[in-house]
Amino acid sequence: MGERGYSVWAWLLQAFTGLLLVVLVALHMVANHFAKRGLLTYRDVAALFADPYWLVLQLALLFAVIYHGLNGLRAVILDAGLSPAGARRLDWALFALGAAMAAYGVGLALSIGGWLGSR
Amino acid sequence: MAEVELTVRVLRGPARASAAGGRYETYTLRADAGWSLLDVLEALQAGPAPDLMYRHSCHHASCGTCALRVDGRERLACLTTVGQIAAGRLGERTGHGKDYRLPRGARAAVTLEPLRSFPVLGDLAADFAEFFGKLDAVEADLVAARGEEATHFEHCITCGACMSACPIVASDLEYLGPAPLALALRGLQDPTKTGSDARRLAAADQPHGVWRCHHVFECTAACPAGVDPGQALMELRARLVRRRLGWREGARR
Ligand code: HEM
Ligand code: HEM
Ligand code: SF4
Ligand code: FES
Repeated sequence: MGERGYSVWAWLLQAFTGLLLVVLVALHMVANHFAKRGLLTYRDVAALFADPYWLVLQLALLFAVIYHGLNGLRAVILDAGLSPAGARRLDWALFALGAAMAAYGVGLALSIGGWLGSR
Repeated sequence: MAEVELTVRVLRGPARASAAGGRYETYTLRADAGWSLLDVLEALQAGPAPDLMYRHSCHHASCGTCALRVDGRERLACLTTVGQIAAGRLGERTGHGKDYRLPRGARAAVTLEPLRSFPVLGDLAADFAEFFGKLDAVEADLVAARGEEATHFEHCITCGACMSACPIVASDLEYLGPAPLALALRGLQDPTKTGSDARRLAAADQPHGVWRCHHVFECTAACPAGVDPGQALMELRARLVRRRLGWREGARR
């Protein structure tokens, strides 16, 4: 946790990603149901991720929801009254989980969108 | 004033680390609707429960010693009246000076328990030592202000009701809690500049400090003095954020 804690940044980013989610989740709904003809088939989804603007928005949603969700989970787990060492282990575990989720999501988005070449 | 046949269930027990260990004793007495709960406790002490432990001093919502849980709700015993209990109006700050128009032969039942999250000295008497330690950590004691401006900084009577109501304090006893954090903010706002702001900020900005709050606002609902600790906590967060971002304090207050 550090002496001059980073909790201040963690909270600021929680509130900021929360606000961002309002916008991004709304856009996600638009993408799913309204833009063009909505996402009815895998081909529609692939076309969406091939569009760089939607790709960036979807990745922003991915990062925002991963951070916001896991940091929210952190806040809840900390209520158990962890020791400083326990809290540090929790931070690393959640960081690793978030990094793995982000990597998987980015890889998926890029491959579906055809940005990785072959597909 | 109307008389009420009052059945009082009291969580009684020896000193213990939490309210979990006690047993409930039930007493029935005739009480005037205008009595406060302190009058009821005194009547019990004078009658069936001479060894009953509870704390009080001022009888008028100033000393902050008499807080307990009344039907699960944090209340000052001195502000809570028998009539209020019989009328089911525990949501009101006090029953004093009110006529609840109780019917003749009214009956009521009430459960009394000590504050949550405090060690218990015995029965309804909570041990405030740790709580006062947290207040010291934020330098809550201000020297009396000489100027005119400090009048509204003294609402908190350190009764502990907010600490008992807060679910975060209940799960993490090290959490500084609503009153200490509200008083940290009060210290920062104090125009007489008593105490160390650096210490207050450091205490608030630690792992068990202001960041642990989940905005349940039970503290604000429980406070008998109108302190609004929940709002104070958010203001304290905003101050810490502005400070870290290097924004100058002042424009907003
Ligand atoms: C009924 C509700 C939902 C449906 C039907 C749905 C459907 C989909 C579909 C079809 C995709 C792939 C195409 C695209 O990116 O638009 C997707 C991706 C995604 N969805 Fe949703 N979604 C829903 C709700 C949500 C919510 C509530 C969130 C977050 C708060 C969310 C987060 C994401 C993210 C981050 C991606 C991108 C994944 C990646 O980058 O690999 N979705 N969703
Ligand atoms: C409409 C979008 C959303 C907004 C505006 C929003 C806003 C917020 C805010 C302001 C906080 C409190 C931060 C703090 O002061 O400590 C928070 C906490 C939290 N959020 Fe969100 N959020 C949104 C969506 C989500 C989603 C989609 C999830 C799930 C993945 C989520 C999970 C959480 C969790 C677990 C917490 C911690 C709860 C707590 O501290 O008690 N939120 N959110
Ligand atoms: S903030 Fe209110 S509830 Fe908390 S100790 Fe002070 S007076 Fe009591
Ligand atoms: S007896 Fe002093 S506040 Fe109740």
